[in-house]
Amino acid sequence: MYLEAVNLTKRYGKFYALNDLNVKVEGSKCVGYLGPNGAGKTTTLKLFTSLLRPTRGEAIINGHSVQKDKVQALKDVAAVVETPELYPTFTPEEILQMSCALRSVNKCDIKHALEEVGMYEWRNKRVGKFSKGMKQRIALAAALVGNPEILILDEPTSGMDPRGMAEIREVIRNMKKSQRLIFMSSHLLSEVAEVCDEVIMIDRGKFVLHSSMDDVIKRFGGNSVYVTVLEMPDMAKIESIPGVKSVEKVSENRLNIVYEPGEDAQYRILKELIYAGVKVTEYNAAKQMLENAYLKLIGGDRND
Amino acid sequence: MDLEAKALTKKYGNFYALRGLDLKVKGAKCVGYLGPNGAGKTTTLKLFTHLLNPTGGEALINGYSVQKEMKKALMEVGTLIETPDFYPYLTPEELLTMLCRIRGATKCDVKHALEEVGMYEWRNKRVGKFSKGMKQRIALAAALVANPEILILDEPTTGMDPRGMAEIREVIRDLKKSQRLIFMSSHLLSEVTEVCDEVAMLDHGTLLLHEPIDVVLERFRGNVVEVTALNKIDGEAIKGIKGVVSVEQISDTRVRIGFDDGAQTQHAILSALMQQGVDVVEYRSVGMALEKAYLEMIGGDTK
Amino acid sequence: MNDFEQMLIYSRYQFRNYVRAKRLWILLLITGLVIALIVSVNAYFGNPASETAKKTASTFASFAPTLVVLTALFFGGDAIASEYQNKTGYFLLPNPIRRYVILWGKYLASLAAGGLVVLIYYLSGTVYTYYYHSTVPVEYWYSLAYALVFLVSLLSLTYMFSTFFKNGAVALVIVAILYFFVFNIIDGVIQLTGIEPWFSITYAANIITLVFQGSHMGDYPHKTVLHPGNGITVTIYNPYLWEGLAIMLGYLIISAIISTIVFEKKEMK
Repeated sequence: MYLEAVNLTKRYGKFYALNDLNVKVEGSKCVGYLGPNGAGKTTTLKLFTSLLRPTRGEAIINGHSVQKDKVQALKDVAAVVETPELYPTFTPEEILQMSCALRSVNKCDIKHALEEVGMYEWRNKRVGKFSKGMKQRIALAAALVGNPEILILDEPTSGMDPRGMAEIREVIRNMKKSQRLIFMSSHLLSEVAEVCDEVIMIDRGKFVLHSSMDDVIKRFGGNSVYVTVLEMPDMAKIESIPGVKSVEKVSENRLNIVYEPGEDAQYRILKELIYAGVKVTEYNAAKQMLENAYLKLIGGDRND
Repeated sequence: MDLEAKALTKKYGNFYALRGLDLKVKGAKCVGYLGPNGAGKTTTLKLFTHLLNPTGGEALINGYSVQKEMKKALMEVGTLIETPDFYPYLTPEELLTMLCRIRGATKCDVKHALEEVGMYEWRNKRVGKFSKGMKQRIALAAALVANPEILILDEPTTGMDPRGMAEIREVIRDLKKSQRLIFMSSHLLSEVTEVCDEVAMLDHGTLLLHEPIDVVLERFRGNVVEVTALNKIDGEAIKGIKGVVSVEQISDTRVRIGFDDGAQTQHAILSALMQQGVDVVEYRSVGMALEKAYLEMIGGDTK
Repeated sequence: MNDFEQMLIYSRYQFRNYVRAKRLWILLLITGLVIALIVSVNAYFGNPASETAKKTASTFASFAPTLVVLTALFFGGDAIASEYQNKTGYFLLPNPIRRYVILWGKYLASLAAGGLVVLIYYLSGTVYTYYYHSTVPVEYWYSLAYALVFLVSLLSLTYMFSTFFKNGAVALVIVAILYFFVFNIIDGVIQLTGIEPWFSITYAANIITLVFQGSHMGDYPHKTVLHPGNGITVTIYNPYLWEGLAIMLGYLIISAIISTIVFEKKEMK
């Protein structure tokens, strides 16, 4: 169960949408694919789903080249690129039946797919009145119905309200549990930090980073952390901890501590806080770390 | 420096886009305005900025009715609603200068506004060819340029990549520091948790909650934490800690701990972990409290 | 900052936008082609030097009403509708500026851009007439003045239509159909009824060319009745000069009032 890009390149005239990407992701996990607008994220996903042909290199899925052996390569892959518009008068069950029939897969399990996205009880309602989150879940179910091992998702929560986002996140967590590899692009770092196990970053068509979330947290310790406390401690006491540059009271029980970046700083400060009797209930930097990594490695939107 | 809705109502035929909204926000702070698509968030913001006329009630800014004394009410307001388009043959500098002169604003700073949104180097290019993200930045600069006391922002980071989002959050923090009132709608609860001081939630045109964010976070606290450490975590050893209900090992250095409810317990577990020699670098609730609050208070998209 | 100052500031920037826009250059290109056509066709098939200066000027001015219609379309057809469709309204409307200030500020910019085109056209006519006759008849200046009044009035009417729609392209097409077909058809059909079409702006615009007729200004029949046979009666009316002006003024005032009210009430949904 793996996706692999070998020297994968897509060029439009003189413009490299994707420039010599070499990356491999494997196993039942969620891999977040990050980068600014125009970095080549969607291009990559389209190359893996044979919506685009590479200028050079290969996209390989489970050992089969998407370009040379499309049928074998895409056998166990499903992709959701944007929220597709569903026929409003159809029910989820009908849509999945159609999806099954079109793919002529034999191991169709509509019930299971709908359960996996939490839409089984809606199976006989027409989708016309569904919210965007629900439609996206049906689209995911349609992708799941052939029981694919690998799912490729392009910004699955884009344009959704908080409930829709929470629903999709939950579905992705579920899919991970049922032994699937999820490869998804996203702009929401907090989302990626929460559901993904690995991240890949690209910028201007070029590979920048491939790392586990754990490593990102360790390597990009960054220089600030949000601390939630039971009762507000003496600020001067915190400022006197070695390495702490500044402390800012964010609200009645939240602090933002900025510190000198360095080995173990984040751990040391928490330790000092606890020893000093500060009643810490949260010490939150995961999203900041991913953001730090992103901001350090990657530029802004591509405008050329 | 305040925004006040008094029984503010907007009706389309039989449909209430907004129903008797009573809400007052005041002072130098950021107020997050949350709700599903179609709940009435944008309607509210448009009523405050004279883009819509209310069916009933009033929108007041600094005591002036937006409907009756529009010019006075909007004098100290900067707005960003949807991603506006601009006259394509003008440059950012011209557009902002025009806005300044039209507003008769004395405290205008075009250069500063463009720098804040990272568009200064584009000041002399015509906006017709800008990307959506760039237009969004210009729109934010347009809201900032007259240096208004109050900012009304409708999903300011929509369509932006992570860097854009981070930059705009920074701008909002700076604004708070320079004593501005920011009233912004958003779908990104992590963003709101990070920059806002108060939240107001809306569903089906009705206000459900308006409280300081601390109160909301406290009330909707979760009882699962995720721990990341520098060294290896022994899941079995953790199970002995008082209050711990479940332990889920995610990786060698990462676990999820379920515990008996309560902030005290959450703190006690962290202390105990450190005493056991776990080099904790990150200790956070799983799922955002604000998200929990949202999901409990509010349904899905409204059609 | 009072409303009038705001209007002038806005108008100046809007004018700058118009001057840089492709539209102005397309319209100038069309104008240039028409001028080239008039000049070359007359030089080749006619003999402008042997006719009166008034005739030469009249030939040149005969395209003016159409040019004014085109100008109004180009600069007014979607002027307000596009504020909604392209969301440029979100940039300007939430500021402490009254709606009518935006409406009339933009109108002034359109008028300036459109007036520029009409002036360029008439200036070419001046050169053309002067070239053959070393003089330009006074009627020509009246014709220019009437053309400008027509522009002021027609642009106001176009702005009114533009406030009715939320889609710029729809507004543009409907206004084009109105000006090129509907008004002409009404003017034609009305000839069969014997009623004077005092309510038609294109009828009024005839004074732009009528001014050249007869031995002195206004020397043309107000009403001509023809009997082409089969019992049909055709009545051709020509507006008096003052009447044409009055009709255009009426259009200006009425459409100005309506568009101001509609735009004030209009919402950015």
